[in-house]
Amino acid sequence: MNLAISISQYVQQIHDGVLSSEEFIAKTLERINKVDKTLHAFISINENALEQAKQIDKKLKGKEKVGACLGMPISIKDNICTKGIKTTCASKMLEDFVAPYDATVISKLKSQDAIIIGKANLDEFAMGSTTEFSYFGPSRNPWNPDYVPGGSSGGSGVSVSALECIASLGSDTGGSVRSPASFCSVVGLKPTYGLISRYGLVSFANSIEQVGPLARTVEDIAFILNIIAGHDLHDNTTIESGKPDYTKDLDVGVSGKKIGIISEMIGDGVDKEVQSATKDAVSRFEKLGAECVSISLDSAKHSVAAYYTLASAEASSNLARFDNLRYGFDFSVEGYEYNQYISKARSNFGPEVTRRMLLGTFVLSTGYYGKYYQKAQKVRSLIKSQLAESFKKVDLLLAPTMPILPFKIGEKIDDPLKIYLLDINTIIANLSGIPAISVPFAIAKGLPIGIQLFANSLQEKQLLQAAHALQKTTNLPGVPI
Amino acid sequence: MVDRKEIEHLSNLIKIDISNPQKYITQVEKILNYFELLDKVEIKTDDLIRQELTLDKLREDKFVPFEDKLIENLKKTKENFVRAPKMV
Repeated sequence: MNLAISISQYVQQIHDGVLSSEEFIAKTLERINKVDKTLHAFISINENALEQAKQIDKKLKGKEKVGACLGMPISIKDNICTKGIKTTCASKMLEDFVAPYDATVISKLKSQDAIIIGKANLDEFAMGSTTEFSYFGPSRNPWNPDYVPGGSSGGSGVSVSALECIASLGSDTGGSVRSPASFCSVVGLKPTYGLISRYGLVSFANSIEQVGPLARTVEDIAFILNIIAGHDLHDNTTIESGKPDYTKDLDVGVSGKKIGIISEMIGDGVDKEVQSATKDAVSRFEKLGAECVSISLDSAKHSVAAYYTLASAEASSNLARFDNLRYGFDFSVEGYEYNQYISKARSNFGPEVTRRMLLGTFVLSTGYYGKYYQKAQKVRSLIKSQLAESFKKVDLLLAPTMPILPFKIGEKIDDPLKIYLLDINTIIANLSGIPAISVPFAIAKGLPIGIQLFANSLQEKQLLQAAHALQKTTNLPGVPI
Repeated sequence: MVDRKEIEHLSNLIKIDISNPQKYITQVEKILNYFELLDKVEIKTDDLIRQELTLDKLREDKFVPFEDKLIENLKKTKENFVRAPKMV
């Protein structure tokens, strides 16, 4: 049996009766046992997965109604709450935390008979771009385990790429779904802000973050999006999207579409392998009948500073709730005064989380608020209006997802600013709320390169159609591990 | 710009004991220096595009009981209370 199948192939094989959920889950667990010691995509595994698969097979045999996911294994980033399975956010502060409820995206997947195979590793509280800031240790890139898998949804990217699940949910605050998608050679979508409920996603930067799917094909992304998108009474930032069928008309192609290549994202600081892959992607779109033009987005050069100002500010406020009293690890309150206790408990936050809280508190403090926070909000507005202008001229925007190839674990860990700057091509989507997708496009020096497409808000259908057209032009090798 | 005193003040505000402030001083300073670039951006308008939220679909204002006993998930409890360190 082949684990390297897409969702549509899985569905077909189950319907044809040549595959059972139990067989697939058993084989997946075997695969996890074999490769995860090296890759460390998972923080915890669902011990009941096999039993759940048997139940679904039983329903299938009895011709009972079974949800669209038919018992397929899906991994979940460990900052999305799952009832009965630990949700640690890769932090010591939550190492034993079991959420008393399911996030809306989890309830939706479960109601369609998906099996949560395990909880995927991440940078602590999703703060990072390499998955090296996990309290439980880094995940490794399946294309070369000495290299970072991207992040913060690194475990999600690794698990999909290394055939440890069929799809995954991550969260994207500054590129956290698209970065591991690019570095691990899978597809990753950051949807329009408000398209997917954040209820049960542990808050980091509420005005920016979104849950997003990772899978091996664009078709699979459309399938998952159909299930998890939509208004949620538990999250008032969700919007009415009219529930389009994202899997329909995926094949319409890009003929007659106008694609803008963001000039600021293909020049200085971009690896030459990435530059040449981008050129190649542009010429393939042209061959498919799209018109490609150069577009300047000069506000993009301020996006990293604006993003880290705003995200840190929101993080410093969100993380105030972790006082080790309602959540936390075993640490007795006896013998401590209130502030002393909390400060000692909170010293167990990792270095990146602490750094962000220091930064966030600084930029919000008296005397600096106007200089940093307010200015960052204005840059955010500028990015939004420049993007709105661009979408009057073109249907889609294109840029490489990551400016550089994956790099070695440990290479940049002591220079946080260098890591922040890796997000330069992804964060305009988060600051403006527009959707963006990373499509696996090339392998150079044995390492993956992803191409990113952006569309205007709620234009996911158009975005997926173009991404699907691009993916069909590729023929990439299978993962080497 | 950022000195030991500033970091200590901030760590006090965020309530985190920081064992090695020196490490954070260098890194936070470097990042803030980069943020300075925001100050140089020319923005013609003072208007901010605010994020609009449509709140027309609020749920009914009705008590919905939570099925789980949340208190049982807490580690430090005494009867029905959260056990906290002494305040004074």
